[in-house]
Amino acid sequence: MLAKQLAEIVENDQLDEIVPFLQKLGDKKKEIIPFLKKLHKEYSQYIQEVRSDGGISMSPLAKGDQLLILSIAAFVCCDEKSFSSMYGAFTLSKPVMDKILPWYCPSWFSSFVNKYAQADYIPFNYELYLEWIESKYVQESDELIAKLLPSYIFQSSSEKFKHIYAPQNLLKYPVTLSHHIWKIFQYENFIHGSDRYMSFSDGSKEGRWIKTFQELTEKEHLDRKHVLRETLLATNRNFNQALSGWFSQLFIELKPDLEELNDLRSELLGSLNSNSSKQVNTTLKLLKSMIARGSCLDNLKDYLNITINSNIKSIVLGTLACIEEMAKRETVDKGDLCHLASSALVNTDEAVQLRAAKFIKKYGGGSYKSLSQTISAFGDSLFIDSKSVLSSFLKEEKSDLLIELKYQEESNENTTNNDFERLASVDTFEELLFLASQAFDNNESWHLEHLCNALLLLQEHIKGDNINKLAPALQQAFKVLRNSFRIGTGFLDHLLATFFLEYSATIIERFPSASTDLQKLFNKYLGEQSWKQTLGLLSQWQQQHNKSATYQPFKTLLLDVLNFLKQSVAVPLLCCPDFYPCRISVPTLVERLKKYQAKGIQPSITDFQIAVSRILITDAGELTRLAESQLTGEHKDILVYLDSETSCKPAVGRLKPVWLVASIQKSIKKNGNILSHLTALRTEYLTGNFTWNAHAEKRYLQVYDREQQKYIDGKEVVTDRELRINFPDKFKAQPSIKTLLNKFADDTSEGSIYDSLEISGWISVEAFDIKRLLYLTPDNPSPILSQVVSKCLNFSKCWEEPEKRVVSQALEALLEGATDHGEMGTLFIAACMLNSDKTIANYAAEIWVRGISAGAIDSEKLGETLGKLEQHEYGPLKRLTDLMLNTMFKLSTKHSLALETLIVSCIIEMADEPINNTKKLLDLYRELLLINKSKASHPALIEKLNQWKANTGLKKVVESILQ
Amino acid sequence: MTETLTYQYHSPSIITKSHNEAGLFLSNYSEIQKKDNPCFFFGNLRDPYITAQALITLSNVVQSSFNLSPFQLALLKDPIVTSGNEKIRFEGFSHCAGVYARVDILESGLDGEFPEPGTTNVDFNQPMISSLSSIERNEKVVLSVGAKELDLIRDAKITRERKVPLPVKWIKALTSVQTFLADSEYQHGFNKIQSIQLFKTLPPGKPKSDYYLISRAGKASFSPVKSGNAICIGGVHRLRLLEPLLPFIDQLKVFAHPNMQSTSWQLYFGSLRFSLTLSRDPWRGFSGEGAALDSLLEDIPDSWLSATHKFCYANQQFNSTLFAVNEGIHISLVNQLTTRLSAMGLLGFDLDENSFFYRRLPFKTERILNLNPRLKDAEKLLAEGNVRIQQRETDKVEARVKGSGVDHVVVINNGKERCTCTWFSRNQGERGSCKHILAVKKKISEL
Repeated sequence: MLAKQLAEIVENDQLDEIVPFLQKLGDKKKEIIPFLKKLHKEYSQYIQEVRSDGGISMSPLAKGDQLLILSIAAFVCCDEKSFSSMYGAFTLSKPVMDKILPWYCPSWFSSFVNKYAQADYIPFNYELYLEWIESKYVQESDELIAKLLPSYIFQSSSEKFKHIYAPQNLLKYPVTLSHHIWKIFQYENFIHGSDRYMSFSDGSKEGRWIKTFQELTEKEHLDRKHVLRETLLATNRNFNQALSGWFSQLFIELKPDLEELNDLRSELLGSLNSNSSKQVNTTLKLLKSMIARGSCLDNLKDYLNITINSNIKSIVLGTLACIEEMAKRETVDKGDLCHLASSALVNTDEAVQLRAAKFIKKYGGGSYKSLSQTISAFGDSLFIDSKSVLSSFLKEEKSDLLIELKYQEESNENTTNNDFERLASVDTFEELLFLASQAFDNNESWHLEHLCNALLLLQEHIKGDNINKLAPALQQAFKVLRNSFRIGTGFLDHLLATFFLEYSATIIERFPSASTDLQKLFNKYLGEQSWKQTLGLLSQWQQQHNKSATYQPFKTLLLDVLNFLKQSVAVPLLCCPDFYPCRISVPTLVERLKKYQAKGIQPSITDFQIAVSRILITDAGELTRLAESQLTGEHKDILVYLDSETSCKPAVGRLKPVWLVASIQKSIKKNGNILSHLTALRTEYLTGNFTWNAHAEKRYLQVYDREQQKYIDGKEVVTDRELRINFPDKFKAQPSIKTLLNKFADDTSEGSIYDSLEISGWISVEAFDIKRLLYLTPDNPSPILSQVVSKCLNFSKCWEEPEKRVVSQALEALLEGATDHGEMGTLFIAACMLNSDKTIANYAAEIWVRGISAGAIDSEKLGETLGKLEQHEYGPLKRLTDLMLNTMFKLSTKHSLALETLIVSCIIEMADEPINNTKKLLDLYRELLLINKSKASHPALIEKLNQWKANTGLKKVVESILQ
Repeated sequence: MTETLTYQYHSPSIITKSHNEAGLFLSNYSEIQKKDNPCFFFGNLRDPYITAQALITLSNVVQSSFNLSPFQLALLKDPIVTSGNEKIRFEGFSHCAGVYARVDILESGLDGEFPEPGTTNVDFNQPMISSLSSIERNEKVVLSVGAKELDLIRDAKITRERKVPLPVKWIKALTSVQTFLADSEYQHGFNKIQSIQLFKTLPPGKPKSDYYLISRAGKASFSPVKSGNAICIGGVHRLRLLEPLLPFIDQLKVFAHPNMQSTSWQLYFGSLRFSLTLSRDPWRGFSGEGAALDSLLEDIPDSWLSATHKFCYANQQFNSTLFAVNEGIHISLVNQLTTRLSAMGLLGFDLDENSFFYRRLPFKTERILNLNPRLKDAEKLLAEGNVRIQQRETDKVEARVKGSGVDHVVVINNGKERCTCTWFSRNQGERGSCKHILAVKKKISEL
């Protein structure tokens, strides 16, 4: 009966009827709860509607006040939890609550309302909340008051969507100014942005709350001292930075005088711990003026000890200004101040260092001994100018203050990339089992090849009980294919999982009775007896979301392995690395080829190509010696050709792609000629030596025009600075008849691994493959790097995380595996040095640092590339100078000389018109000239510097360089 | 047992101020000493300024969160304090349980009495933390851990009650971080200048990749590139928590776990030490690590609990051999003893003294022992008969353990444990044994 009545009220949308209905319920409230929930579920549904224009739209089933009626019923009948789930808009509005609360206020009402202190949106206002407090429906919550009050000085205007500024509201209730207003200073709220999204019809200007406080104190509605104190305390309550900054602004606008500041000494000092740099800067300025006017500030030095070590330059300079002001007093211990100022010598900003140095020189004489000890500890990190200012304080020997540094100079820093670590081989079924179960997780870059090699060589162990032991690995493969990509796994892991699926199906076909566990998995994941339909799964593999051809060499490799496995051919995988991260030693490769020859089996062409490109030649002549003594035929010829110094054209047999790869290897290692006639590809696609250019383009920022209802050019001009690689046609232009003849003449259908080193489409999970892709041709990373630059480094900022990851991983691969960077490698490193991501830039700098130690990087070439990129300011020059200063500077004599070379060639290539922060680069160069005791002598450099001298900001430093 | 922990403080912790004298009254609460909240320490702080700065940093650690879970202040866990043996130690974790911080006030930093040694939660409310920054160097400050006389504290009759979901992460992390600390070794020492210089090389923002503490040209720095004997630090930005303390230090020592699963950064200020321990990655809390799981495999006799109470007092250095001799525990178990006791929440580890110290976490022991789902899962596997030992030789065991959908192979060969499950495949044992290995080990220990 009750349920029926309720249903009718809801159905007929009778808002006025619901309260009388609920009032009559008495003890029967609980009875209607199940029905209420059912109704709520029903009316909350969205239904499909066909519009008059034939289109389809979704709209709620509930119309008018139906949901509100249900919500009111829930408010009266349910507990807090159930009501929360059925809560409808406007329930907490004044008209509704006025009807209910006088006769029914649930016990949970207060806690429910006060929970809005943590919510972003509050469906009631300050006034209504006050009413509820007054009527004792709710217990006052300070946090909620702080959240509600900021919007109380704004009210809706008669004009639609407009507001008016109404500070007089604050005077309506005495409690507002006597108590509530102080909560704003104590709890996090949105006062700093309370009018940000409002449009005002009364012509009032921004900063309304600040104006309000000014007026309230002027008219003595609020005690000014109290406001000042609370404002200062609020800057140091760990509020978000914007809010802390707002309180800081309020304090400034209230313009405290000296007497007031003196009263607030303790709070002022405390505000130096604020998370708002604006407040710290403000306080430092005020403190300086207080010191100048004779205020006594106990413990100030404790606080300055923190601020002088700040990472923010303005704070350090503000602190130094305070220290300088303090030093003007006669009674102050100058030595103490000098010790304090000496902390600024850690700063890597030359101006900061110099200011601190000058201060110490001026006031430090009296504490020479202790200062000398402290300052000597900074010796290595001082700039030449600061050093010369402080020369009398600097001891020759290292300071006693330097306590034991257990860290050792890195032993491997000077090692060359030839020192590779040997990888453990997989020789037993047990090893294979545990490798198989982790191979799809991309734990290590060589797992793919190791798994294939182990499957090929341990075929005789895959029988009987051992077969079912592979079930966890197969399950893992299914999961990889079924689930979306997990962080860390890429397309190659999908490819490997597909391979393993087809391989497992082969085992099932071969050992049906011993493979029940594998069969169960196929049944579970792909359907009954699905292993019978897996033939060709791998050859049909297309990586999802991506059209990249780069995966083709791996796919072909796995297909060849699968064919060997299907035919039970037990031969090793030639390209399986035995040295970290991807290298194959000469004896291993010869030994493996020998096994093929002994069995009379031709290796996979793809496998052979990858193996040749990964070969690690450490002992000159070893390859020829072993090949000639243990191999025959074309295999031997290829290896001997690879090792020989002669540049004679070899007699190429049927393994053309392998010969091509060998000739590329030879061209890198021994400057040989590439046998480019063996491929239709243009040489650039073999070497990666594409042309490129960086350019800047100005354009107007688009803004939306409401009247024209479209985007139009706005007033703001932005400059797009872009790096572009010029990819020519992939194939050489050949007369069509010749192409046809070549096709007929070609007796191998297999292509070269270089045919497909292209990344196309959006970057998604390539980051987890990029190392393995680069390790296809570790000595020739340029072709793949050209793709990475083109995809991810068009701008000096990676917009998306996947792109950033690709760049980081490629840098890691270069550091671990590449011995030669090539043209694109240099461009890639240079572009990374200018990247906004500090990790990427640091990585690139590290490649340079290690490259210099190992003599494996050309600083001149790198500097030239950087200069070309900076012609149009591809990235802010400050990024580069900061990077140089923090990571590449003062490492060793060798590094200092190399950095000088790099900067010289960079300057030469830069534009005649100096770009922003050129002075920083020149300051650094000047510092290097002094360290290296060298002079600017390159004619092109001198010419460029003379051009830059016309710029007033650079004149002094240029003259100093040219002296 | 309820899934909610209710901190019931007699009053909020407060700082009182009078002429050149301040009082830091820390209100305490212990789940295992509900009725009786004794005073653990009452006396003067010899270096109140540094203590205040260290406690602010500790509160910053406790309020921080470095993983993706939304941080809610309401869930703030209060630090715990161990007072006794002339020392006071404050311990706390970040919200994500990936950063562990401890403030040790040594004997020379305290001038007072320890009416009752013990471990307790202390109320760290925001107004009290904000007031800490007002403590000055030459101020006389009285510290009270637990009220000596309730009248000392204004508003003493106001009971401060805060209900929080059971801080499972916290309790678990408190038990497992000790294992990482005990395995850590001293790597580097830096003076103040070197430390400040080192921290200037911290990368801005929150780098996602690992950073390494490297040395080059006589200077230490943080680099994204691994080299030589570099110490690996995941989520290096978490170190910024230490920055405000650096200008005051005498020395910084860095300790690292042998497998780089954690790093500890210990700051020294005369009579006070502050240590910060970081988990391997910002998204990995110490709570999720299975470092102590193996030690909990065997049932823990109740007698151990009472024996530790009888034998030890708070902050006392723990001598496992002596304990074993006194309690008649077989000498072969001595090595496991400390790990097992710390996994039960009975021991902490002091890196500087390189030894465990006794402190009983102020949480019910059954809570602590119920916190290891992997161990519970392993027991379930055994109870359901899902573990089959296939081969058992002196140095090798091979077993099949039923997993979800497949039977996993577990091989324990000369102490090297491996399993074919996903957890093991991804972590390779770095995050403790998987449930399958645990089940096999438990089964063979029972055979």
